[in-house]
Order: sequence, then structure tokens, then C-alpha cells
Amino acid sequence: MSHASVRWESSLLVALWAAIILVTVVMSQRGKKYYIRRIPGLNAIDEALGRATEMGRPILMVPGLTDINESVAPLQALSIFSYIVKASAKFGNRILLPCAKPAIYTVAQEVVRDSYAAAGRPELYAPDSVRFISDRQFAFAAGVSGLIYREQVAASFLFGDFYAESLIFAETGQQVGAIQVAGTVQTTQIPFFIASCDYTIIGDEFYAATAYISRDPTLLGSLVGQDISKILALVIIVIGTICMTIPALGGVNSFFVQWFKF
Amino acid sequence: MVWTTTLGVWVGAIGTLALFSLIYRENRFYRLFEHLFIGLAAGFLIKSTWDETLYPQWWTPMVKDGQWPWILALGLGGLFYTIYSKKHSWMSRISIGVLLGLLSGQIFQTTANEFIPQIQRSFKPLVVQAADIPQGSQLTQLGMSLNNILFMVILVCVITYFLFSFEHKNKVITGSARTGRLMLMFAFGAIFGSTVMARMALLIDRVWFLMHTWLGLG
Repeated sequence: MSHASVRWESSLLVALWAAIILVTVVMSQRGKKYYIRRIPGLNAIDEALGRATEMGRPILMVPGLTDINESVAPLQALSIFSYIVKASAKFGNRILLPCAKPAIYTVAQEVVRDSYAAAGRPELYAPDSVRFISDRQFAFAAGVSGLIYREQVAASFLFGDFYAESLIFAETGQQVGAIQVAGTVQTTQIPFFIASCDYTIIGDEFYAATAYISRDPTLLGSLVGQDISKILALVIIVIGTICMTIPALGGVNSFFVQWFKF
Repeated sequence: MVWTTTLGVWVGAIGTLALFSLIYRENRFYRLFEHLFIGLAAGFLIKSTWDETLYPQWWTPMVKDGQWPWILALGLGGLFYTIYSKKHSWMSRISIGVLLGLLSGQIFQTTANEFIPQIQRSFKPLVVQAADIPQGSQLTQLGMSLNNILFMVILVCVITYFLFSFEHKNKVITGSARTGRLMLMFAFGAIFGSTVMARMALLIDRVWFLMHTWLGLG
């Protein structure tokens, strides 16, 4: 059963989080400068681009397996890919962007075309650089693996939601000697990326990376708002823990703990 | 055995071997089955989209139940195809915008469902009383207390690691974030081990198929 539907208190907390994020987004859009710390894995993106240029081989970008109406991760991935496409346009690197979902394929085409135009090299856009492979997980995995082998990609960027196919992509990339940077919020797949990629952006770092790279005031403001929300959640947890620890405060029957009960 | 079953087993076995051949190197045998696989998946996509989504959720309500406004969905979906026209490609953004709007609305509900129960489950007594121990449990008060303290420390450290809007210069923050990262690596190691075991089960299933169902050994 939906928590938000049965407990109005839940909606209140979510509304508070949303309000915090909205305030920081508006402040950022009005010119407030926010600091975002550098994510170490991001340096690797430029390194990988340099390597692809030296080798004259293509760059592979995979936006994961989820669709536009399932997760925000593929859109965040496309935002990072936009940065990569703009950077690669300077050196004329060929790019490959295989998609697993029709809607993502449509958005990816737009993003790549716009990125080349923004970089002042619209003629570099090749329609077949963005491809729809298959929406079936392992058909997609087989198709992308074949692509990695045949094209002998020099750099591989795996950003988005990945599942069991993550290791197939990363291992295949490793076999052709590609420098690989991956980022996902899927906890079960992060270990595979850590084991087989050169750099891995872990969990929430993925969202921060998008804000850091794009410097978009909306994303920067949103990230700061999320940080404040995390601190708020931490404060709630500490108060809840204190209530549970000190019997005089009521323990599990205290008002505070009961307020959050599902 | 019916000949169609025999044929299915042979196709399955040859397909499995073809895809496994990539471990050695990329080859024509793999490429043939890769394209066959993708082609079959494309056909399956069309069939399953009609059977599982369009027919029950769109066609039936519109034609049989008289919910005619569903016809508007056809126009909205059709706008995606304007991507192929330079002049009209901007129209595809309308459909994309609608999908994004729907996603944004759902995220509010998902956030409540995902995070609030997590927050609630994080309320753990650091000093466990005898009454807090579940009946029949082998756990001791000290053991449970240490477990809860460890949980709290790891939680604080990991959240500190995932704070991005300020520089990690303060020694306490740096130490906490570093510990958080270390703890994450421990957790990832455990996840890696358990997931690899699950993958081994998949491999064993395929090998069993080849050895037993196909070759009739064992």
C-alpha cells in the first residue's frame, strides 16, 4: 500500500523536502552561487576522451536499461553524455549511443544533435550514432557487446540504471582495452563496475556529477536542496534514536517514533 | 519427444554455444546469433506491446468500454515519430514533456514510499533493554546494542560521504566521509559475493541444459 496515500504525515514531510529543493533551485536560478565538491571520477571523463582521440577509435555511451517514465537516471545520463558529445566534437571523435528504450532513443537523438549544434559542429551529427538495439535485457546486452567488439571502442561510459547486463558491458569493454567510466544508483551493480571499470561514480555521486558537469543552476540548486534534505533526515533519525534509547522519552511508544510509523 | 521440442532444444543449444563463443573472440557464429536474438526480441517487443499494453489498457477501454478520450493517446504517441522530420521534430518534445511530467508526479509518491519507512526503521535503541529482544532470539542485550551502535555510526558516515555542497576540509567530516566510503566498499564486497553466486546458478542452469537436455548426459 502506498505510504503517501495512507499517512498524510508522509505527504507533509515530502512536501517539506520538495519545498526546500524548490527554494534552493529558485535561489540558484536567481544567481546565488553554490559550491559543489569535485567528484574524483569526473576527471576520468576527460582522460577517456583524450585516449579515444589518440587512438582514433569511437566512444561508447550507454544510458542504462530504464525508460523515461521509470527513472530519472537515464535523463541524468544523457546530461553527462551531452557534455561528452560537446567535448568530443572539438576533436571529431565518433560516438556510439545504443539505447534500450524507444523514448530514450528519441530523447538521445535530440540531445546528441543539440550538443553538436551547441559545440558549433552540427555537421558531425551522424543519425546512426544513436541506435535502438532492443528493449529485451539480454538481447540489448548481446547487441552492445557485439558493437564494443566490432567497433573496438576506446572509451566506454556506462551511466544510468543497469541490472545483470552491467558486468557483460564492463567485461567486454575491458577485453577490447577501453578506458571505462561508470556511474549508477543501482546498489547491486556498483560492485561489478568497481571491479571491472577504471572509474566508478557511486550512488548519489551520479546525480552530483550531472550538476557539476552541466553547471545548470536548476540542477545545482536541486543538489544543494537534496543535501539539506539529507541533513534533515539525519536529524530526524538522531532524534528517533534518542527517543528509542531513553525509556523516559517513551521508547517505541513516544509521539515522535509513532508519527513515523508505517 | 515431439520433433518441435527436439528442434527447440537444438536451437537453444546452438544459440547458447554461439553466445558463449564471444568469450573466445568476436566471430561470425556469434554475430549471426546476436542479430537473430535482437531480431526475435524486436518481434517479441511488438507482440508483447500489443498483447500486454495496447490491447488491454488502450484498445479495450476505447473500443469496448466507450472511453473514447483514449484516442488522444494515439496522437500523443504519434508525435514521437515527428523526430524523423527536421521541420516538425520539435513536436516530439510535447510527448517527452508529458512523460516527464508523469514521472515527476510519481516520484513524489515513490519518495514517501521508499524513504519514510527507511527513516522509521533507522530508529534503533543504542542501549537495548531486555524487553527489546525478540522472544526466542539468541541475541544478547550487549550484542544488539553493539549492532545498533555500529548501524548508527555507518549511517552517519555514509550520509556524510554523500553530502556534496560543501568542501570536506574539516577533520571530523573528512574522517567520517572516509569511513563511510570504506564501509560502502565492505558492503559492495558482500553484494559482489552474493550476486556472483546467483550468476553461477545461471551458468549452472545453462551447462545443465547443454549436458542433460541436449546431450542427454547425467
